[in-house]
Amino acid sequence: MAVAMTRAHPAVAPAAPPALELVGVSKSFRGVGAVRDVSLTLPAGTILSLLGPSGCGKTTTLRIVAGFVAPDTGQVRIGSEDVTDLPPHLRHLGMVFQNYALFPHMTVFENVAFGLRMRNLGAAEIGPAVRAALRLVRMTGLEARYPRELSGGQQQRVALARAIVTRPRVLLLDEPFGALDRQLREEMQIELKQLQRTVGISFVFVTHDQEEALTISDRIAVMRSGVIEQVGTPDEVFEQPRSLFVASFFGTVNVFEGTVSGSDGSAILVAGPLGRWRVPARAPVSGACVVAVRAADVAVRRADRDEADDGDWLSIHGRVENIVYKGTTVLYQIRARDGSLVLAAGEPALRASVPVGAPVSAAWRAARTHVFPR
Amino acid sequence: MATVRPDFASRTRDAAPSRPRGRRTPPAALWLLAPGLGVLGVLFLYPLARVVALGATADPRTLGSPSSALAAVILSPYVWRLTTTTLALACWTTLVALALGYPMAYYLVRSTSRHRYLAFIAVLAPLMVSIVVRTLGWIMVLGTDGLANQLLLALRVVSRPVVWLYTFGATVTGLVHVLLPFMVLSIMAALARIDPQVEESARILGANRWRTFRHVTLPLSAQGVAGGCALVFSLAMGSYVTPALLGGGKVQVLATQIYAQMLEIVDWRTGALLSLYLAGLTLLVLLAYALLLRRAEAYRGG
Repeated sequence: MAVAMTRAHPAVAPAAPPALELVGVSKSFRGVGAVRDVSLTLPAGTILSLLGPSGCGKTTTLRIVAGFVAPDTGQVRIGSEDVTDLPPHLRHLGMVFQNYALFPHMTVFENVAFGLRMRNLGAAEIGPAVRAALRLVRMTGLEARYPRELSGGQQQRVALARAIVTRPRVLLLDEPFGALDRQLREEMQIELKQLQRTVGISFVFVTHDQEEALTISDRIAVMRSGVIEQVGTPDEVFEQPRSLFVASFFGTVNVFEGTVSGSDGSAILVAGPLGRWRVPARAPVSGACVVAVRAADVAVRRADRDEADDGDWLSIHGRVENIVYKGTTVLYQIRARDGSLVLAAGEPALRASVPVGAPVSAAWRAARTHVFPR
Repeated sequence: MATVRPDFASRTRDAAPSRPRGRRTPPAALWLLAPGLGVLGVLFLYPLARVVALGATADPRTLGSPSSALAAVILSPYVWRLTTTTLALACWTTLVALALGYPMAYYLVRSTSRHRYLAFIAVLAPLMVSIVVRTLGWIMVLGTDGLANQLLLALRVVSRPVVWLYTFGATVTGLVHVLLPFMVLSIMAALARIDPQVEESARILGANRWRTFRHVTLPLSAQGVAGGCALVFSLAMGSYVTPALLGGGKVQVLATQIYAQMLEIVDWRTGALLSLYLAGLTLLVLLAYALLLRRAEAYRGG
């Protein structure tokens, strides 16, 4: 059993089999589909996030991988071995829970040593391996403490050490930082990413926090109602959302209804109550559609300094109804001429020149516009 | 009935370090104790004082001192026999209740079945029926013409009725039935505090079901087991109705002898001395038990 923690895993070896594969996995609870036909591939040595709102099936998917839930149909493969019918203790995985789930009756050392003991290793091997794992998560010197004597962040480090000390084939993390406060959470995210590079283990990371998913992941699978809506790199799911759901999951979006009135090669024409827009076509859309623009992509300008729409920019006109202070940004709520509300982000200093009540135009790049079928 | 109930449940391992040591209870909180202490004082301490007073009166026949009278009662071979029977009865009852109660408690806490409420009611049911009625029920089941014998005879498993009634085994059976809810509820309380994900952690770390139980579930529910055992043991030590009815005079324990002394022989003094002896014995066993547990815990906790 390899327990040397500092040796990098040969993650970049060519043609390595995927660390984990789900093939057409479904699971219903009392007739309700919790996970529906989910297929996923986790390349060796990478971090995949399952991202979605609560109840979207991401945790059930993780529990199917762990072996706590048996899928109704489909296959779970770990490193090209079919483990669908294997009980959890034979899958050689690691898992980290949101509430740490440390053994309260064991010391930090005993907690981390548990997985090695269950593999019937001797004390001569267990001691150095446990100390190496604790060094990796910077918990040296606390071996004799009990979990209740540690802070939340410390407990989660111990849980991490306990999970990686056995060098699992895949490490499963179920909202591991959900119980930590924001600053600590962000620190732990960066540390986790570094840890993953050091140990080279593949991670599946469940979260409902889109920022966390963008920070940590090599790939993100966005889930909704038991179905994977989109899988891609953080850039891809953020910049090129394939559905309105994915788009609106990553920050506030403005949604306008319209109708596709035609297309010319790389762009489609959308007619709506606020005008006719020419937007780049990423996927074929026809008929009734929705146009989505992130509030962060919308800039506010004074309408009296009106600039004609060039082909690159789209805009609507209205009046500032409210300004919400957010610290580093402010959120403008603009009432458009047709009565709809448009949200736009700006710098706090903008409030001096564009106050509440000012007539404004809200403009964004056509390239930042997303069109989805309605 | 039970004279001592060491409060194991309140000594939870988790709560202990967070409780500030040496902080004094605010005086207002003491008033919350007053009603309970009042009831205890009237219904327990006063009769106890009366019993002590009774036992301390000089023997009208020999005019010996109270302490020599107590020694004479305790050291008599008959009382020694009663003592071993009482202890054996309480120990067996505790062991059987533990063996039956742990799996039941585990099922009731962990099952997601819709029928588990029925099982829970079945566990609690003995508490809702009078002890006398329940024990008479056992007589109907275990008697020579009882249900069990009729069944065995009809199935030709036995050729003549088995004698169950008025034996030690029948008494243990009856007591287990009566006291099982205390064991189950005590263990349930401990199991319910265990986070299922702690057990799942053990599973994913390579422990099969048995090793998960052995290394995680059992140690984490030990407090409930200890409390349940203490409760059932002390209740069994003082039980009277079940040994009297199911033992039918053939299973003599301290409690039945106290009854006989007081109400049949009308030797209140000896009855009082035996009562004090039983209370002292139960207290002694429970104290030894508590010390043993503390030892084990200190050893485990390092």
